[in-house]
Parts: sequence; C-alpha cells; structure tokens
Amino acid sequence: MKSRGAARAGGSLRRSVEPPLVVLLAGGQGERLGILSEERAKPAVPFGGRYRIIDFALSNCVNSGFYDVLVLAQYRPRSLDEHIGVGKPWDLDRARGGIEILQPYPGQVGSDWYRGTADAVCHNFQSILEKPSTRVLVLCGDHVYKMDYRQMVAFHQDRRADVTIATVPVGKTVARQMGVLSADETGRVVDFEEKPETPAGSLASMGVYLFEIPFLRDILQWDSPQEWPVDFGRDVIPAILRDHGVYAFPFDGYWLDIGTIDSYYQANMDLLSETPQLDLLDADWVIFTNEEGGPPARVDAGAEVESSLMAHGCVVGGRVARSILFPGVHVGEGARVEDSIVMTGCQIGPAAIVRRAILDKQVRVGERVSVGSEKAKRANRLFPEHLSSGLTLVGKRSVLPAGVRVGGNCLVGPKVGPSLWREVHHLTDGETLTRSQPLSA
Amino acid sequence: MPRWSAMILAGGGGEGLGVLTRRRAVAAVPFGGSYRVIDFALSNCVNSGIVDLAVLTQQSPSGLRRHIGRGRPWDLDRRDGGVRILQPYLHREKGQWYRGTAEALSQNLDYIEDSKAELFLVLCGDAVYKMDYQRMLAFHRAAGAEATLAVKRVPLGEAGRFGIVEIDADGRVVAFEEKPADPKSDLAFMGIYLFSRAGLLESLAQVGQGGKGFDLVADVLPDFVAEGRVLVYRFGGYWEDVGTLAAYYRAHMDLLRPNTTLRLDDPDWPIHTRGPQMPPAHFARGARCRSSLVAEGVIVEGEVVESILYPGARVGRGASVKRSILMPGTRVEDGAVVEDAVLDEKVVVEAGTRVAPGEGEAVSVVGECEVVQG
Repeated sequence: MKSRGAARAGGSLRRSVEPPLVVLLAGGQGERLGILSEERAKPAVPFGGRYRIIDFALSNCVNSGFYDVLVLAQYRPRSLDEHIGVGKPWDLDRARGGIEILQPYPGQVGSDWYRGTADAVCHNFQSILEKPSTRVLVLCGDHVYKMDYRQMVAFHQDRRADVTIATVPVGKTVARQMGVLSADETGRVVDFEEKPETPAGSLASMGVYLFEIPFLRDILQWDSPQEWPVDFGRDVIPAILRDHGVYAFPFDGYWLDIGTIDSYYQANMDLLSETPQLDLLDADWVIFTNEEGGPPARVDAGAEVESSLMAHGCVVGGRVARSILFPGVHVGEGARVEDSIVMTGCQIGPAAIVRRAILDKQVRVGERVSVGSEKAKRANRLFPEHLSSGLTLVGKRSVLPAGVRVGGNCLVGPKVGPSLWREVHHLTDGETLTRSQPLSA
Repeated sequence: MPRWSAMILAGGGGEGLGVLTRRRAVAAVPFGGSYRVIDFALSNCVNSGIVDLAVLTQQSPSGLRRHIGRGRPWDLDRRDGGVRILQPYLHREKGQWYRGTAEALSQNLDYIEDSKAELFLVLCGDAVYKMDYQRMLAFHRAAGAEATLAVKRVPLGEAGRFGIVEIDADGRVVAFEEKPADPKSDLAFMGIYLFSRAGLLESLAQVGQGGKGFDLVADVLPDFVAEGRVLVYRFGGYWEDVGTLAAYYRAHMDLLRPNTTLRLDDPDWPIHTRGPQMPPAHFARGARCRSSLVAEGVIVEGEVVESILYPGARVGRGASVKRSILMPGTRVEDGAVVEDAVLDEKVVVEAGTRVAPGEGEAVSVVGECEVVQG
C-alpha cells in the first residue's frame, strides 16, 4: 500500500511570520480554455473531480494562516461569486478580514476595465491601503499547486526585500510563455524577461509576488493614474531590478498554470498517478471547496473502474478507466468512459463510448453515442491552435441524442439541443457544432 | 399550516451495537457510507418542512454535538427556529439523568412551554428511513387526533423484535406490547409520535407521578389508549431501527440492492450530513470494484465486492473486501482479506491478515482504532 497523505506543502516553519494581505487576481478570461471558460471565469473552471481551480490558491492562503483576502474579479464574476459566497468553506467568513470580492465599476480613476495585473491592483489600491497589513501577497487564481506561503514571507523578511517573486525552475513549464529570470546566490534577481523568445534565465516566475505596500505604492505611481503600469511581469518588475531589492523565492513543489486545454487535461490526468505529485488527500494541507458532499458513489454489479477518480453521487454501471468523474455522473450499463473528464451531473447512456473527451457539466450523452477518438485525423478546423491533441470538448448542458457519433478534436458548444443534430449524425474529426455554428460542413 | 416542532430522542447508548457504541450514541453511528444515523431523522424533518427542532442527548453526546453543530448542513442554522441540543442538566433542586423517553421530554418542559408550536413530532433518532412527516400531519389533523403513532407492517414472524400495536376497527390503539412473545398484530411502532401541544403537556404532567414510570409508551400512553385518544398512521416505506448489530448490518446490505427503496441519491429527498473535505475516491490501476458504495477520500487498489466504504477507507493491492462495512479512515493493507465484517473507524487490518466471522457469528466486528495483526 502506497503511503499517501503524508507529503507536506512545505517544510516545517518554526519562526512566526506576519500574515500579509492577499490580493487574488481572478479576472482572467482564459480564452485558450475555449468553451470551458466561455461562461465562467478561468479560476472557476472545475478541476480534479470536485474542485474549482481557485480552490488551490484560497486553500493555500488559509492553510498558511492568511485570512485577509481580496479577490479581484472582472470576467464572468457570477461563477466566482456563487462559488466563494461569504467564504465559509475556507473559513474565510470572518468578523475581521475574511474574503471580499472586488469588481471594476465605472467612474473609478484610470480606465474602466482592468488592462492587466498591475492595473487591476492600482484600481483597488485604496482597499489595500485600508487594510492593516504592511505587505501584500499577489496571487493568481489560475494555478494548481500546494504552497506554504509562510516560507516565502520568511524568505522575504530575512532579506528585507522590497519584492519577492515565487519561482519554479525553467523547464518545468514553457518558458516562452512565462516571465524568466536569473538570480544571484543570495536570491536577488539580476535579470527578468517577460515571455522571451530565447530564455536566458533558469527560473520562471509563478506570478506570485510579495510586496511591501508603501514600496508598491511608489513604484505603481498610484497617485498618477495616467502613469499606471499594465502588467507586473512586463512593466513593473524589469524596471525596478537595478535599484531595488527584488528577490526570487524558489518553490520546488508541483505547480501548473492552467493555460490551455491540453495543460488542463494533463493536470487532471496527473491526479490519476498512483502517487500523484499533487496529493489531494494530504490531511495537513486540505484543499477546501464549496461542495456540500453527498451520497457515496454507487458502483453496480456490472461495473469496472480503474485508474480513475470518482466523486460522490456517481452511479456507474459500465466501464470507467483513466478518467475523472465529478459529482453525480451517471454511466449506464455497458457504457465505456476512457481517458476523459466528465463534470458534475453528466448522464452517459447505456452502451455509449466516451474517449479522450472533456464533458462540461450536465451533458447528456444518449444510448450508443460515441464521443471522441483515440486517433484524430486532423486538428479542429476552426480552432487548430487550441484543439489539436485529439481531445474533444462538449459544452455545458448539451445533448447528444442516441446513436450520434462525434470524432476527435471536435468541439460541441454549450446548450446544443437535440434539434441541431437533425441534420448531422456524425461529427467527423476536427469539426465543430455550436448553436451559432450549426454545421461547419 | 400550524406551527410544528420536532424533538429527536438521541440519548440512547445502544447496548445492541456492542463496540460500535462504545464511545458514541446510536444516533451518531456512521451509516450508509457518508452519513450518521441521525441524518435521516434530521433530513426527514427539513424535507418535511420542520425547521424548528431539538435533539435530546444523554449518552456520549459529544460526537453528536460536533456532528450537528449549528445545523448548517441541514440548513438549520436559523434566526427563527433551527436546531438546538438539549442535554440533561442540573436543576436548582436536583439533577436527574433521563430514566426514559417521557422523562427526557418532561425535564425539558420549559422548552416545550416556551415553544410556539401547536404540534410536536417526537422521534427516535435511531432509525434509517425516508418519511414525509407532512402526510402524517395531514392524517393527524384530518382525524382530529391528540396523539398519533407511526407504525409499519412487519412479517408476523419478526414481530417479536418490535413494539407491537393493536388497533380496533376505527384505527384506534387498544393495546401496546413491547417485544411480545406471541404478537397479536403485525403493526410495529416506529418510535414516531405526533402530539397536539395540549396532549403532550397533559401526558408529561403524569411522568413519575402516582407510581408511574418514565417511558412514554409504557407509562404515559396507556391512559390515553384507554380513553381511545391514540391513532395510528401507517407508513409503507423502508424503515429499519439500527439499534442491533444484525439490523445495522442488514440495513447496509439493503442499500446495495439495485432496487433498494432507501435510495440515498434521490434529489427530491436528499439526506444531508456534515462530511469531511476529501477528494474524490481513487480507483488505482488493477482495482476491481462492484456492487458497492464508495465515499470520497477512498483509495481502492485491490478488490471490493458488495461492500460499503466510508470516507478515507483504503483497500491495498491484492487485498479483498467482501460484504463488509469499512468506516472512515480504515485501512486494509496489501493482501489482507476482510469478509462479512464491520470495521469501525481507523481500524487497520495488517498486510496478509484475515478478518471474518468466527464460529457461530454472522458478522465480525472490529472496534475503533484496533489493529488486526497476523
């Protein structure tokens, strides 16, 4: 029996650290996640059979003992609002501090909508100043990782840094999409490049920053809205390296920026390993979520389940392999679900086959339907840059009527009803069917 | 719609459940892979529209208290009503543990008097069932009853396990016998009473008076029965009092039947509980699982057949679990065998060992935190 639940998010920390204010950036549209983030903010995208992506950052905060969190929302905030509520699942419903969701509104200084990470912080700097903390930890709601931020704060305190940037070794991620930096032996950053063509440094920025608040106020030129920088990585950090104490905190755990459909799929599939790098059973670092729980999953007499995760309320009568089933998924008798992510409330009819597919919530797959393929012959014709690895996506609340066939690299949009399938029973590899795009023949 | 309130009797220590109730009340015993027994009474109340209720505890109250908390999982954390826990307490003149169901109520007379409810549903918290108390209420009001008892037909051969109610042609209770050797009726009392406020106050005034004892059925109701003031409401659904090990085990195995009438995933009658925050169950490569219920946080590497796995239970590689109940945090290590067994919380069955009923036993029970060694 493998030992699970023992891994720590960080080593022991004997020294006390002063909890900073947390600003959690959660406004991302996640265009590259396609229909998964069409109707929800990227941090609200479901993950790991039970969670939403933002649960990792939120749980890291409370597990680190940081209970004062501002969430900056912008794109499709309703999904986040409903998920976070008053913050009860994270014990963030507090008399002092707690969680607060801030949204852009007209008439704020500067432009109306946030243009980037630094701009979003500038817009809300008054709220930051009203907090008792002297430091602010800026987090991104799109990352999947378990991190004890206290280690980073202690590192920052020891060096009397102005800014500390959390980093992972380059190579763990695609450097060309990241901020890449080099540090000297004390950890001081000597070079920073945002999204370089040919990365020179050995560390990649995780987009996690710890700032001294008075220092941040100065470098953001908060008092002059016309001067506000747009992005931390592109505009702020490179400009302050020379004259200020900018340090790189090395994080050595599992970390993934959910940027694309492929990275989303891979991060989910990583959880199926016998000893996953991201151990969700760790009793000392619980990932909390707003999910009430429910009846145990029911595995019927004719079922086979292996290498899979299955949440509460599932009822399985068929074969499930290398897949993640969110709460309340029903898999009919003789059906096969393989290498797939099936979200809350999906119904998969008897003898249906689902392979290498991501089904958003409440999709209904009829009897004998076949979705996805092991070998797709071509990339998606409309979105070749997002859908080319063979995955097929089906949007929230779509219906695939009995007998329909959908190939690989296909996209079925949200709320595609049975009537749209009257003309087409077979969506071949790389084709798309949405309500606004009834047939891409 | 009159105001009504429920009082759930959850003080029983449950001698019939052996080691399972060594440190918990019957109502707090885990049930059905995710729940505790009292979740059924609580959820039935909420689903029936009763949102003002009290849970009366006595034996091992701390687990129940922690489980119920302020009642949030049942949406019972309310400004008006909600759930409260009533424990035996020291009065100015005396302190007295509850000596029976009637005394549990009579010692909380102030709660009843302060309540604005016109009707009181008194429930035993030791049974698993899904029941719409609204229907019982409708029957009670239509009949103009002062006290109504919920009953269920049982096979006459098994009637000796229950409190058996005899009725006349009008449906009035004429006699009541506890676990009769020679049952005269097949109507088993479910431990569910619906009282009018006046009826309840009148009956509680008699508790311990004039040589009377402290039990509702044995001591208080006979006078009402004699006056023809008690009716029965027949319930037709699944109901099992899980106060004995045999019944407890049987009720679990009933859940595994494909056509079980105690469906736990009925969206129209949800059973709520306070559960741990755990990831989805993990079925490893080579795992085999069928005809089972599997909660979150479970890891299955071996074989699981006709069993119920509570949150965080683990079945190692090459291990085999059949017709068994694995409570939260149990660990069946590699190659171990568990058959027809109930493993209480955090039991460890070490690699290569075997747990199965001994000679003449139907079920093998292993108590909390025990380690079964080879």
